[in-house]
Amino acid sequence: MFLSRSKRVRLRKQCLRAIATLLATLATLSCGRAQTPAATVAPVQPAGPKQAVTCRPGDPLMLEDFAYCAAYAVVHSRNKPRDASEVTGFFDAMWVLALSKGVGSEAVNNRVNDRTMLLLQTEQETKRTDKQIGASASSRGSTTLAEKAGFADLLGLAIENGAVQKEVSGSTLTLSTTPYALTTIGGGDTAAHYHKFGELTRLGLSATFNISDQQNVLANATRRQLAEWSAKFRLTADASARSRAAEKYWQTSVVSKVSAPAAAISQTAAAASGLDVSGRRDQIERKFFDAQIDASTNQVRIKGYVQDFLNAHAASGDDELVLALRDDLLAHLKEDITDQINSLGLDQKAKAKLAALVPSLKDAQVSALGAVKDFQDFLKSLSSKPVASVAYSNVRDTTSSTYSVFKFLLEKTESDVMQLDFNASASLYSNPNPALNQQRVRDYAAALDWSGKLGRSPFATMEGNESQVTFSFSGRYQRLLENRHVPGKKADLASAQAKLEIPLFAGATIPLSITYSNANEISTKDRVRFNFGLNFDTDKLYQLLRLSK
Amino acid sequence: MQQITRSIYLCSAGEVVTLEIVATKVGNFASLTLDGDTKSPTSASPLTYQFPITAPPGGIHHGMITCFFPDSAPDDAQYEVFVSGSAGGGRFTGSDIVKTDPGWLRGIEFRRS
Repeated sequence: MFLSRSKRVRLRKQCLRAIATLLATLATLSCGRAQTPAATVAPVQPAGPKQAVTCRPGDPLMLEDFAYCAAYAVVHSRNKPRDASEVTGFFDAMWVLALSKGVGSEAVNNRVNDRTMLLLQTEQETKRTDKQIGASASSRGSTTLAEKAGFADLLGLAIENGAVQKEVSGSTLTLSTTPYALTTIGGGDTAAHYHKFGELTRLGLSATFNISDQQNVLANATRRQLAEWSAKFRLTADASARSRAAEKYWQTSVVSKVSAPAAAISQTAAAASGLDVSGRRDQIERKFFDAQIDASTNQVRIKGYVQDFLNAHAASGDDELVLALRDDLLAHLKEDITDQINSLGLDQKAKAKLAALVPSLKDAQVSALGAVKDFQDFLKSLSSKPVASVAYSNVRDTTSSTYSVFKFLLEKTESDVMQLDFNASASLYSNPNPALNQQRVRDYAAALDWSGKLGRSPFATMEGNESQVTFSFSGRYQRLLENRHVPGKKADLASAQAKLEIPLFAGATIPLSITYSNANEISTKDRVRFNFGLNFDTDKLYQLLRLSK
Repeated sequence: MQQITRSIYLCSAGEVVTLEIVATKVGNFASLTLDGDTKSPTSASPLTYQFPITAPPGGIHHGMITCFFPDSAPDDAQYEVFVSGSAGGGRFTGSDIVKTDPGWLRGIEFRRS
């Protein structure tokens, strides 16, 4: 039964409202860091560039970058609010780079654009098209003929309207997850824990509910409204970035190259310590951060440029404080190190070693960048391996009887833009009704889906949202045994479908499909049907929310 | 061993330092370099490194930790550093590096008392 236009409009509004509520909740969760009170004095004015930079493997590592990262670590410390001591985690790098500037070494200037890595991460997640978010083909509200083998780790939510195989058209809500998340409660999701319980990510669970309460879509997630529940088990090995294969590749092929910049810095710092300037280094580091015990009160007193700056700008907002503190650090590094290069007692040999730092850092950066790319390529090749799964679904069909479906699912990524999915299934009635010509075996079915990407969605305007418009062509054949030799019914049911999925915003996608069927389960009449839905992938939403912070 | 800050530790002569890097929501994609040498872990999960303090009095061992987060790691994935010494003093919590931090490299100093 089709919904009336007013009901569809109301349902759409309710879906959007539910999503907005979920968005707001997730935004609250993801923005949990305490906010700094509003400034009561004139804000600090950073003098340098306002863009953020990163100090990551493969990045050009300049003095300004480390000063920014140090300032960020101080202002956003998770140890305690605005912790001046965090600067010590960056002092070696700033010390040797300031020294090398003093001896006239040229700066590395092929800077990688700020936020490049985070953008890449978000783009990768939002590009994914390998998850089954909606209901299976047998469900009343499904827009799917062939299922995908992947599933959402966190929570997948899909609301769909229409029908593929059913005469009765309806609306459904599908929730899906993996049980691995349960094991992390209390224990934390550490790499060691994943080694122990990671096999549980093989299992995916989902439940599909018929939507009757259109005022509150999520309220339909009750046992009474349960239309279908499924368990999916991945047969193939873990091909994720947390797999043992990924860690092994990291240790054997990546770690030495990716550590090259750190090795260059720590080697120069160690060499400089042996150049009779370590005493001066200690003195200068104490100028930036020092902790002394006050003899009269026996309390620790934090001193130094960083603490002084924090004290003087306590009312400033975090973002402006990071940039201003970076500028202050750079000014002191210049004043106390770079400009004092000739009074630090460095001989020519020492200066030559320091002058060699930046060129060696550049070589190290090239090495690290290559290693990062190799590693990302390896992870990509891992994720493009075929994924085979078996699934069990329990379908509570109100028009016939409850039945179980056993499926085999195979997914193969052919290229960056093409993917093949194959499903084969058989279903069995729990209690066949002879009056309805039912026997134990209900049907056999097979489906093949060929899908591809058409490029970035025109509606994905948010930075980093690379959600792809996808198309698919599917075919499905079903042999429905109870329809054999029954007048007015067909046992051989075939469908062909063309489907377009258009990402709208922040993890939400509208699937639109047009399906031709030679018949359906209760009629021999062939027909063309149009189906639509709204799919919601929280993994993508979560990633986009983090980027927008 | 004494902790001065999350990145500075005061050690005695010959003391063997144990440094652990605990990865959460990400694989063990981290490394430690000490005075220019990339150290091999003594344990793979959590990544554990052990080395002796050989610097002269007042000297420093200059360490640097490099972390990496694959694209697929969630934004709250992190590495936490824990440090202890064979001469006692306890197990100290060192720096933490979260995926969204701009800095995935972090220095760590071991000063000889």
